[in-house]
Amino acid sequence: MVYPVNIKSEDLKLLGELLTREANPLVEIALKKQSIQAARQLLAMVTPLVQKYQWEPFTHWVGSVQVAVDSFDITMMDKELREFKPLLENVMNIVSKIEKS
Amino acid sequence: MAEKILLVDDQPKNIQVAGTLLAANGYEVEFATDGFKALEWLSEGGFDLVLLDVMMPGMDGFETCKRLKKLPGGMDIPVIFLTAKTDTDSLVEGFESGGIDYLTKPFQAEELMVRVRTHLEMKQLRAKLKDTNKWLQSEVDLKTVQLQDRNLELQNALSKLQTLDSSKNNFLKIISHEIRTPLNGIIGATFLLRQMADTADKKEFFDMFEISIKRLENFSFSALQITELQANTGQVPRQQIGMNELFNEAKNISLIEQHRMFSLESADLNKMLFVNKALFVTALVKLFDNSIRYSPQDSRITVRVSEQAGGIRFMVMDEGPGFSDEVLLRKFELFVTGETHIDKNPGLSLPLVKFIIEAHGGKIDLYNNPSGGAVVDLTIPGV
Repeated sequence: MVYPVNIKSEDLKLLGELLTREANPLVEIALKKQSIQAARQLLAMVTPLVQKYQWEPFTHWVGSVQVAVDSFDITMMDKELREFKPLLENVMNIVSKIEKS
Repeated sequence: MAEKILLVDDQPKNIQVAGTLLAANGYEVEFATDGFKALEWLSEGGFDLVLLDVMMPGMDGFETCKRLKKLPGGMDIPVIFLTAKTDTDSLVEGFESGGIDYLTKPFQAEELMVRVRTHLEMKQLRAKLKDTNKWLQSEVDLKTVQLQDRNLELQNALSKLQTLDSSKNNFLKIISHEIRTPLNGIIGATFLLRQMADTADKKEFFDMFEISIKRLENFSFSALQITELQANTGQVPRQQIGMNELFNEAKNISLIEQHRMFSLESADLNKMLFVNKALFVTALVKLFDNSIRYSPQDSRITVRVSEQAGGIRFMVMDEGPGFSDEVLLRKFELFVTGETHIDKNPGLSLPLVKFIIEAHGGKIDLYNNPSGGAVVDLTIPGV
């Protein structure tokens, strides 16, 4: 679990909600259909969030997906898309712990 | 909107190379790593071209292509095979399965792009052609319906005209018969009364009376002949007869006081013609009468006869003022009269001549001689 360094807990919570509500369906489509265009749509949705929330694990993941899509590396793309679920779980766990403490 | 290409290969590295290249050239690319996944994509539609690897596990490229062609719209999607197999049998199998082209692996980037561009342009042209054909077909269908409607209208109009023509023929026949019977009585009585005329005045009245009777008789005769010729569509019975004999007989029975010089010009004055004597003499009499009516006294009326390739040609020429524009414009129409001779021309003479000549399988024309006078030019088939 990577704890947030320079992000407020309420922002992280907000990011978690956004990723669950909007990014998650796009990730599922891109994985199911093995679609480069769906992955591009996902990037179009999440890239603006990188600037706004500046949470390193998220920023790193978005960058990796971007590299995979741009280089048409479908193996890497598949691998990185599958990393989304653990990332989201990580966010939700942190938010949950912060709320408890 | 970018054109959409499906890249099918079981090797991710191959997809990476070709995909990067295509995306960099502005195409929207999707990929599939086997034939089944490719068909899933293609059944969704929207692809403009498929780059298809031949050797894949599960379903090979040829089978994938065959199945693609059976999908709705599949026939319109060009398939380029990417293959390492360049033997003739493989290439033939590729084309037979529906492929449009092939590229041997490893391919050159420029060659791939040229072939992709070419086949996409061809697809666009085929689509345009299809649209144009569709539009043309719809135009043809529309025009066909319009033509059918017009044809029906014309058939109705023709049917009405035929009914009217038949009524007109019946009417002419009836009035001709009805006029001729009492006319014979009048002619006989007039002849007897004329014998009793004892003064110049009375004789003059009888002369006028006889002219009117002759005109009426002439009209009645012509109308009856025309209706009979119109009703009889086959050729008339003919016989051999000398040309000179025909000419003299016509000249002698011409109805009008003549005071004209008649001449017959022919290389062979005794040439035998194969005609219906009664009808042909009638035609010549009508032409002579017309010429006499419209030409000055003591002028010449010439009949020139010559042999032509199409038969025997007769030119009847006078030295009168020629035909009026109205007559030349509406040649041979029933009841057409020359403007300046409306009181002289009963209007049935030329049509009757035309019917007689056509009943002989011949043809007739009217024109004016550049040096003056009218010309009736007719040709009948030889023996």
